[in-house]
Amino acid sequence: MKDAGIYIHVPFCERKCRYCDFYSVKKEETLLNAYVEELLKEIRLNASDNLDKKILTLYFGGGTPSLLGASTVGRIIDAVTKYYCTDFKEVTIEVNPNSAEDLDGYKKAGVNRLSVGVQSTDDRILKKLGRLHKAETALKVLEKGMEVFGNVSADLIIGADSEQDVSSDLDRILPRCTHLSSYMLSLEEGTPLSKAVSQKKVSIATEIEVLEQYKTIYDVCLKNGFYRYEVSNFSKLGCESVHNFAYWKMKDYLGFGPGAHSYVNGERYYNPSDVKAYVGGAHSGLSGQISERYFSLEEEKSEFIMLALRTRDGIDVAEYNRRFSEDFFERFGSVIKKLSGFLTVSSDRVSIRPEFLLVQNSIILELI
Amino acid sequence: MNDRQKHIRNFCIVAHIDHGKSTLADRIIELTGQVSKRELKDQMLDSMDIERERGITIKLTPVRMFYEYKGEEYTLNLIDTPGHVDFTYEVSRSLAACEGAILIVDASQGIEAQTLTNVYLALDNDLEIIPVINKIDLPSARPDEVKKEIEDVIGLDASDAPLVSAKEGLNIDKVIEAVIERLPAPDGDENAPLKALIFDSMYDNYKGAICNIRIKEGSLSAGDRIRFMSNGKEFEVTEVGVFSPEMEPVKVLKAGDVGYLAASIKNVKDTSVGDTVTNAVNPAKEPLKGYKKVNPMVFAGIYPADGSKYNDLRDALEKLNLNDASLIFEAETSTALGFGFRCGFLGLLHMEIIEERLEREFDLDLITTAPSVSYLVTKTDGEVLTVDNPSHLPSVSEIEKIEEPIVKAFIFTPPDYVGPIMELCQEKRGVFVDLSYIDSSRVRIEYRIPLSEIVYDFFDNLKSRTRGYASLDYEFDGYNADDLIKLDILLNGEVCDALSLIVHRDKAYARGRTIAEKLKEVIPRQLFEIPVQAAIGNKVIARETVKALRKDVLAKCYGGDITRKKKLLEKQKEGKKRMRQVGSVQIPSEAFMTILKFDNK
Repeated sequence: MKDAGIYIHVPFCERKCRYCDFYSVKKEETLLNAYVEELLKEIRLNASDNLDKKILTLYFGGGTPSLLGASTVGRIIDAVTKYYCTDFKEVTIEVNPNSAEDLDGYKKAGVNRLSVGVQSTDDRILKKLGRLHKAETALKVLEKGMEVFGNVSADLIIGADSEQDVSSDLDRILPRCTHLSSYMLSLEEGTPLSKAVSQKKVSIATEIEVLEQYKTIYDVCLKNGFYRYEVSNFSKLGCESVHNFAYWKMKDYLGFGPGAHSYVNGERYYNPSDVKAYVGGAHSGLSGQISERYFSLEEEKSEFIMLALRTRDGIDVAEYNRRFSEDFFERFGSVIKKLSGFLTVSSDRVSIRPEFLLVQNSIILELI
Repeated sequence: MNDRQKHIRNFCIVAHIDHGKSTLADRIIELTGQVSKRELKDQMLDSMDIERERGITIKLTPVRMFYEYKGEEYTLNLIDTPGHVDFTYEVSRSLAACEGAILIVDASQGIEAQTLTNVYLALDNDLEIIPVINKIDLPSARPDEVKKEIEDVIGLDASDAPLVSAKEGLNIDKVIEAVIERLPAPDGDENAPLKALIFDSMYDNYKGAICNIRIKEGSLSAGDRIRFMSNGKEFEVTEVGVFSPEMEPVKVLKAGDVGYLAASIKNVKDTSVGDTVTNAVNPAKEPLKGYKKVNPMVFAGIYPADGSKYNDLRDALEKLNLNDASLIFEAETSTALGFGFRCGFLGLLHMEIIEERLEREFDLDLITTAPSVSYLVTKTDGEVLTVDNPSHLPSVSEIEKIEEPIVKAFIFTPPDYVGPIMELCQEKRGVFVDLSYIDSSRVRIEYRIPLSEIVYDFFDNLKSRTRGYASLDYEFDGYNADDLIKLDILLNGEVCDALSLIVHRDKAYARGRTIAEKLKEVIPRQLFEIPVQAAIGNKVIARETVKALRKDVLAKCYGGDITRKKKLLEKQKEGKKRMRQVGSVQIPSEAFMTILKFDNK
């Protein structure tokens, strides 16, 4: 059987954050209920095509998955367990600090890992980002989460402000979690924040400041036993996200819900980002899925290399050789030699040296 | 003068750029019914796309027209002229094919720089000039004042200058009548030995090289044996004809006529502009005066951006060369740029045009090196080399002296700009020769300036410092030895041959600094720090550093959606394709062009 993961996209929010361009709509009871029914149907309909998969991870992302409430989350987990072969190593739900009351309920429903959208521990910056919660609330959710699950991830956005004190953010966050995802704020076209910045109503950190902040994160995390295992993910040993890791290792994953992406049997496809169409049954029988394309083998190799090199572990040479029926070192030996100053190379792994992880694209371009 | 000649008028139109030369030519052709309206494209005579787009004329295209005036039929030959300093010699030859010129002056702008240059050129060729005031339909038109300017500045009687609007087709007939009434008819004995002036040539796939000619004396028919007086080569004429404006064969061309000859000439280089064609059996004693061999003045390396397109580039250059004998090229190699060609041009505009035609007509992406001139290098062992590629300069210890081409530059300007112009000429190592007032509003300044300084941005600088009022003309005036040195550019410690320059020692520091700064701007950050150095020999005179890249990856997470990461990577991959690898450093193609413009402040 093939190991795989399932991603559930929950496209509802109380209010959209000012920087966010993920697909989500304002929460509305009837739409949410219809969405849940369709989601259950989509889960069921896809089962017969995936009898060869063993589902190791389940991930509720959004949006704001915590708007579903524990009982609904339970129904979804049950449906997955019922129709698929599962052996859950990790069931994660993303929660907004403002809607994370019933953590025990999630635990009972089968969730074993929490991901909390802390984003900052500075109320001024939270307001700037358009977050609804206060820093204190988020820290309390982390604490409670640790009590209930013992395995909690915190999201932290850097680059939102020149004055951002990431060091004190981490002082408060790291003792209360096991995993940190630290993303660099990117201004996405059409978001209120990007408009405000282009109209010079607000300013965010300069590129150099972001890099300084990132460097601080890297150093402070290391000091506190949080190791970087991917460009923007840090964790205590053994607390790496199994689900996210599957993305970098190009394992199969099924995405359910509007806007969810899948990678199954070498094919990438995604559902249209349209919840109204979704509840109308647009996805049923997979007809609404937009098939990106089948890869050519060379493209698949490029993706494999690009994704693997994002991680600390880097390229698994044996896996590459098996997957593509060619010898990695025979093919790339001379380039690897040329890039030796930037890589850590052993007979079974090739990874980017920690200090060059942020300039990996220039390195990857030599390989693809 | 016989009755046939009395009914011929050969004329051209001269004007400052944008004063409406090509539009007036179109209207005249239209009015004489030579081309039906349906066939008439805008700017009929400018047959190349580039000419139409830029509003400039590069190739000369003559046209023969008929017009009935007071019951008699006249043959009018209009010869269009290019309007740029690079082609001054060609212009002077086409003016030499005429008896008169229409001088167009814009009714709102008045006399401008090139107006004067062109008028003097026409007067040099003893042409009768008819001033015409164009664009009188514009609200800002001030024809009376412009007439007075023409009288005061040029000294031409403008009292009965036709007031026209070429755009609206207004009073075009007045222009044609003035041509017939006021321009002299051609003379020349049609029974004398043949003397025909070549004022242009082009290549036809079926007929070979075609010469555009003006018969000054004698006559010419198919079957005649001809001789080119400059090189002595002989051919048998296969066809003579006129332009209507397409080539139309006729039985005979006689003294006073404008037309063409074809003689199965394989190489357009045998047909030099300005040469005299005579009859090989009954040759003229003396050629027509004024012929000179035109040598390329400006040289640059042209390379395909995609190295595998080398053969395509060679084919394209060969094809362009068929029609443009003034373009020369030979194969060269560069460590930085691979295989390409060193090309010689008449001037900077000529270079730009060739580049543009290569890119447009042959769909090639090019990398062009900074233009250079041709230096005479005397080695310590007495050998004299011609060096037109800076990277071919021998090492300093082997060089006795370096001589560079000098031009005599003539600049016409309103008196207000004399100061800035002299300042510019001094900066450009110019040596003052003369300053004279043509009248109270025009000054003629003469300097001897190294051609290499003209090549680097002189024209743009002159225009910006004089708000476009000054006009420049120059002619080759020998070689001068000077303290010239090779300036090398090193990237990450390695010399990039395609960026080397020959400069005057006094300017080397400033130029080295500017180039290093420019390169720092255009070379993208890479995985390691890149020192950019300018050096004379082993001595580094300027240094900049392209800092190492710090981030090129998206540090953002999505639920399994890798499309953005891939898009970024693909964009970076595309960018990399446009780079040239020099040692360990990647340089964008634009870098080689940027240094062309380093005098822009």
